[in-house]
Amino acid sequence: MTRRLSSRTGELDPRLAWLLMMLYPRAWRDRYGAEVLRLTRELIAAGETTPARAAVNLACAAVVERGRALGHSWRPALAMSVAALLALAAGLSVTSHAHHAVSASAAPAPASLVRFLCSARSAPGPRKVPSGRLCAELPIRCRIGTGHAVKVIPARPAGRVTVKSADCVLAAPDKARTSGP
Amino acid sequence: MTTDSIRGSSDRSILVLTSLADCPKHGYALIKDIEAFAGVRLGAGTLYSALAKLERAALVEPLPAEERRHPYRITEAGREFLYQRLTESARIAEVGLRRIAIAVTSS
Repeated sequence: MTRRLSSRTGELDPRLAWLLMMLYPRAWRDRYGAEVLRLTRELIAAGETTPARAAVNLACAAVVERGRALGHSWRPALAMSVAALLALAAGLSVTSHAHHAVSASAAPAPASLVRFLCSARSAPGPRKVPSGRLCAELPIRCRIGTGHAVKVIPARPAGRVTVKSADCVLAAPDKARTSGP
Repeated sequence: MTTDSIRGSSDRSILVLTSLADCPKHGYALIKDIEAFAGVRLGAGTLYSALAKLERAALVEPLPAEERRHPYRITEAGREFLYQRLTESARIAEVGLRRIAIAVTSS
């Protein structure tokens, strides 16, 4: 899904754009589809919004337009559609964030943030961490400490630590306490 | 679609009409203008949802494209509708502010 959000950084994938337009009633799409997509691309190019945010906005607006097209007697169905789309939007948002986290691992992080240690409850000794996992997914309490091969997104240093390669070692709890900053 | 349904809708329609009150604007200019005077950043889908609703109510109308962008302008009915709505809002704001002032001075 995240690959559909942007074919390249900062662009709305044409296939996703087409899918989003298909959510709109046909009459609306024929009248405003080209304009709204052009504006969306302008906003993304100007850095006013992100592809993920634009996609969610277009999807929500499509639900509203669908509701208008159906009329007032379909409000329960509309409510269900809204709930489903909100769930979709939340999913998009989460995956998008994960995508950005992985992308950010390619850039070098500040030296103070690259240091990393985790205190593992279940695993007493050092162990390997699968590549690409987020710190939030690990069943452990993590904090910034010593180590390598870990990148931190500067905007979210508290909870978003992304493991770059498979050789990140999680230290035992005692070691983590003594070696930490 | 009537002005009554616009009346019951959110303030987005009023923001769009207010932005168009002085001169025609295309989508991007509308978003930037609304952000400047109201502090509200509309998405493209939200903006065109409001524009479609206003156009169906004949409160705005599209102009011929300029450099592949379609400007919109407020109609006479739209200007009249906006004037009524803003007058109502101003009256309500005046009453509210006066009551707040009375409450503050008496406490």
